[in-house]
Amino acid sequence: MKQLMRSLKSILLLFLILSFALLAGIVVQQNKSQRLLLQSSNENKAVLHSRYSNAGTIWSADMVRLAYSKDGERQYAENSELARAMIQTVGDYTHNIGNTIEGAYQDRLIGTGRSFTQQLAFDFTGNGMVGDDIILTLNSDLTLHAQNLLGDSNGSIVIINYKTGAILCMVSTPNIYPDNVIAWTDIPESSLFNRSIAGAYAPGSTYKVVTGIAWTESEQYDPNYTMYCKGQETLLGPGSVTEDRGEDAHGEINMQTAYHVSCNHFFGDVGIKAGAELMQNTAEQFGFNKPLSLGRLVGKTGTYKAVADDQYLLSWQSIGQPIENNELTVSPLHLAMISGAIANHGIMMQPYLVKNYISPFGKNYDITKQEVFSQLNSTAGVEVIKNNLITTVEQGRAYGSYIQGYVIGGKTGTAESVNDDGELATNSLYTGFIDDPYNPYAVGIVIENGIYDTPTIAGSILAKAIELNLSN
Amino acid sequence: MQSLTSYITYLARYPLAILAIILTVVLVWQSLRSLLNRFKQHTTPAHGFFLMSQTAVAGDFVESYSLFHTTAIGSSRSSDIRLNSKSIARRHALIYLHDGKWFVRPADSNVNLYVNDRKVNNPRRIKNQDLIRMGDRTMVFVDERDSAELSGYEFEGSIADWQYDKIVEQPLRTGFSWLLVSLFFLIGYIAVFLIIPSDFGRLRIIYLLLLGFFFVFAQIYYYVLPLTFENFDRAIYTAFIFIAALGLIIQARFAFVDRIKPLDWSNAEFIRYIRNDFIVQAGVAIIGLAILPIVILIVQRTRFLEKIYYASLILTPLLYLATLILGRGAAEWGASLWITLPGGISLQLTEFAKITYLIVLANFFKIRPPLKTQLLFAGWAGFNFILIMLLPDLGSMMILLPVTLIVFSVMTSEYLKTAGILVGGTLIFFVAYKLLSYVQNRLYGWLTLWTETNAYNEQIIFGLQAIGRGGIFGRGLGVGNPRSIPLASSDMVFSVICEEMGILVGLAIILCFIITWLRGASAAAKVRDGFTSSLILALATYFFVEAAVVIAGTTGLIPLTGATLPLIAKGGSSVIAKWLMIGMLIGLCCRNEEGAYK
Ligand SMILES: [Zn+2]
Repeated sequence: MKQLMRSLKSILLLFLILSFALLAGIVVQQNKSQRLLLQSSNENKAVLHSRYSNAGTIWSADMVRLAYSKDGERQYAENSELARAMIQTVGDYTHNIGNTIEGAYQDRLIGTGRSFTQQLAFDFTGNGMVGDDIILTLNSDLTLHAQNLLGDSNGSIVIINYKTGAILCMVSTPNIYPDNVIAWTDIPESSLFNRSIAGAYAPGSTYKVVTGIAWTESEQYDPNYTMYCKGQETLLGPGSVTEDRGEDAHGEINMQTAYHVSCNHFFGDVGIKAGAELMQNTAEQFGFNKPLSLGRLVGKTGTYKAVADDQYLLSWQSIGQPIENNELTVSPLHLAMISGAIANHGIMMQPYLVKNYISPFGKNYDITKQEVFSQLNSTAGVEVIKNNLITTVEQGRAYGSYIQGYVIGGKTGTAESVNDDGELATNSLYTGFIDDPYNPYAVGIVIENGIYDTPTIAGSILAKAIELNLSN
Repeated sequence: MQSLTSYITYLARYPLAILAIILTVVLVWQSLRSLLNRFKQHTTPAHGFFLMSQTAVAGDFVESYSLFHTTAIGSSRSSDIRLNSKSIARRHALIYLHDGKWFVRPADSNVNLYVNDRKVNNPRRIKNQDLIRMGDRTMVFVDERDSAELSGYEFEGSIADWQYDKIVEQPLRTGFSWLLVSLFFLIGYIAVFLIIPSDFGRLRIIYLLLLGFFFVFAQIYYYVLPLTFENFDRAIYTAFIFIAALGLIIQARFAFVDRIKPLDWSNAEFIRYIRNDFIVQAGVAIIGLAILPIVILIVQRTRFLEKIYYASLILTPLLYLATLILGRGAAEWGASLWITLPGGISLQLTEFAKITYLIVLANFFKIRPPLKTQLLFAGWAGFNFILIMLLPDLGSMMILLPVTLIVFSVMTSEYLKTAGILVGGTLIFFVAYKLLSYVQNRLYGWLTLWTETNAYNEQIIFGLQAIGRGGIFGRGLGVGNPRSIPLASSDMVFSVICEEMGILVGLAIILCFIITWLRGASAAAKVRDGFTSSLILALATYFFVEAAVVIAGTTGLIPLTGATLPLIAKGGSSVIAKWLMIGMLIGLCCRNEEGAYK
């Protein structure tokens, strides 16, 4: 019998370990599910309809209803143009679009994802089954304006408050009305794709902002450095950077002029001088390759991997052109964050979309805290580049974004990317900011398939932001 | 926004979850302590008692052996006192303490055992200096107290040591847990009643009557059965009544709440359908409870289970074969384990095959069998497993294999061979994986659980979403969305419970099966009858493994197998089969230390 006891004892130990693993495993799975499975494809639409029939309201920052439940039906913004401009962000109750507020914040909207003490308080005051409202940082007028500016083109406009990180506007075109998404009919290609936070574009000359910072950090940096631009000739030899837009040579050129005319030779040259390691470091200080979450939504920063062993390829990377499958992409949101960091003395704020919740008692709570996303080592260099971007607007190629009475900085870019149809197409990009403590806005723009006047579009949307007086 | 009654049901989730977790934690704690206590009692040598032997070869060379609560003497390696001699059987005799007195009895009916040269067939009390002879060995039983007294000394040792077996026999105090189970049932009973739509009219009365009947029955049993059956294990009973009560509450919720009337049905048709559906669910629980004392009585007082061994040997593969041949035609989805009898009654014969399988298993390993017998069993079990894989019933396979392994390793103490079987079992799964596409699909669905939704994992994903929505205390009975989960009332019922009643209740379910196992292990350690011991172990392990495999499967911890949660999942024959097994388990635990009563 002692033998039996001994065997039983070992089995008991095994059994207790397994039991504990099972109990702990279920708790872990619940937690994981609460984080990762708030929405999935193929969910039962009828059930979702009834689950959202009494869910909370999603408000824009200026208190326009973007999604709300009435008489057992889920409704979206009354202004159908606004509803369409918000579709990839707000989403819809059928979870047909992934990564949206409706899906990722489902638990708060239906009143399950709150902390225990909060829930207890609501339960015993008769409000337990009421969901929270959510207030977003997005402004409805700015959104409508951006939608207008983009028109029929494919692209994205993002505006952030670079002092707080709040995303004030993000529109991605083409987009589509919520009714179509719910019924799953007449959905244009890529209209459910949120270019603003998930797009990956070659940055083109907008990347010269990053290269400029790397250069000011380099040991070889000399504020008075000039070099000779040879125009359509290559910088180092066949395969290295050239003025590929067919322009005349810029001749002897310094950094400020190089920004004004967006000289490829100059930035190719200083990029090589800064070296792959510093280029990589600087890019990562700008948030490249860093995972980005917007609360529960998944965002995307750019990706960058400096070519270490080939100066010819590095020279192309330095002007924002990935050649031969070299990695270099940026999202419109990230473009706005880059300019924002320049305007904000090298501090890149964590972008966010959800301002706060409104409890069933009608009180604002769980207010999103402002955080730093990334910080540049450079301090003096940031001010140098900032001034160069400001004069680029005042005297250079970004003149279109000039607004009387305001200090605007910016940089344009064009780059070839493979588009939805698999063809090589030219995209127009822009990154810029207003240097004004009362209007601390940064903008990122990408318009696909063509040369567009992005500076003028930027000027228009920034002017609208100033007009709306969003800081108050 | 919602009516007051449904809000009361919503708030009921707090007391329900708290009651469930407290009552199960208390019972687990008590059961674990009692089991560890029993281990201690049974593995500590009795102070002041031993056997002295004179080996035939060495003449007057004296060996002394410690005695335990129960000491097995024989030639096999699993004996506590191993005597290597051709004249000694593998399991020859047992010496044990009962009620403060020492007894000896033969372990098998055909061995020779003599006390003071008188043949012993039944337990015989032994005293100081008694001579015990088995085969060519003779031993002297020494009681140091007596010896000391005879020599005029005083024996040092407390009287408590001497009577230590009495301490073990104290039953667990389950009154508090039972009170909580009763409260749990009553609160759940009222909570569901409040959310049954008022237009169901008479159905609400039927609900009150049937569940009320179950509750009263369960209460009477709790107080009366221990009077009828000595050693009636109230802890196991409490745990199973909790499980059954939870099953009734959640199935009633399925039956009455959130039902959608098919468009072409009349109101009367709809209500009749719901009524029949519910009466079957509540009915099987009541039938199960009704047969419980009968099963306990038969198992405790007779050797019926021992007698149906040969029948079980043949019946097990036959039941699988019958399902394999007849079940196919009734297939609605994938493999069908149901057999439809004339009259429209569907039966799941495989549920009963599991019982007969366990009986055979227990019989084979009641004593450590020689290799030849082990191989014989391996052949028989292997044949059954092939049939199971052909069905295919991955769930049964995933449950019976671990149970076999645990019974084998405990009863034989052959860890090396256990490891070998484990490797063999893994190989079977590998072969099954290679041959059977449905195994591949399930594994694929499981591996891609967190990366994509596909046809093979959406069931688990929807279930996990529900568990996530439920949080700690759940969303309240009737508030969840079971319709978002396929097979919500059967295979995926655990997810629905977690959504509506909270993860605490989910954890309480697992704790209940832990209680069952701990109590079973304790009883298995107590009985000296090999068959009783191994069948208790087999049944208790079966319940735990089944629950664990189902719950781990529905929560994505392991691939989904398609088994269902005992007593909680919707089912007819499966629920009856489970009540039979509960009766067997409680009945076996009621047996005294010598096995069945006369
Ligand atoms: Zn140039």
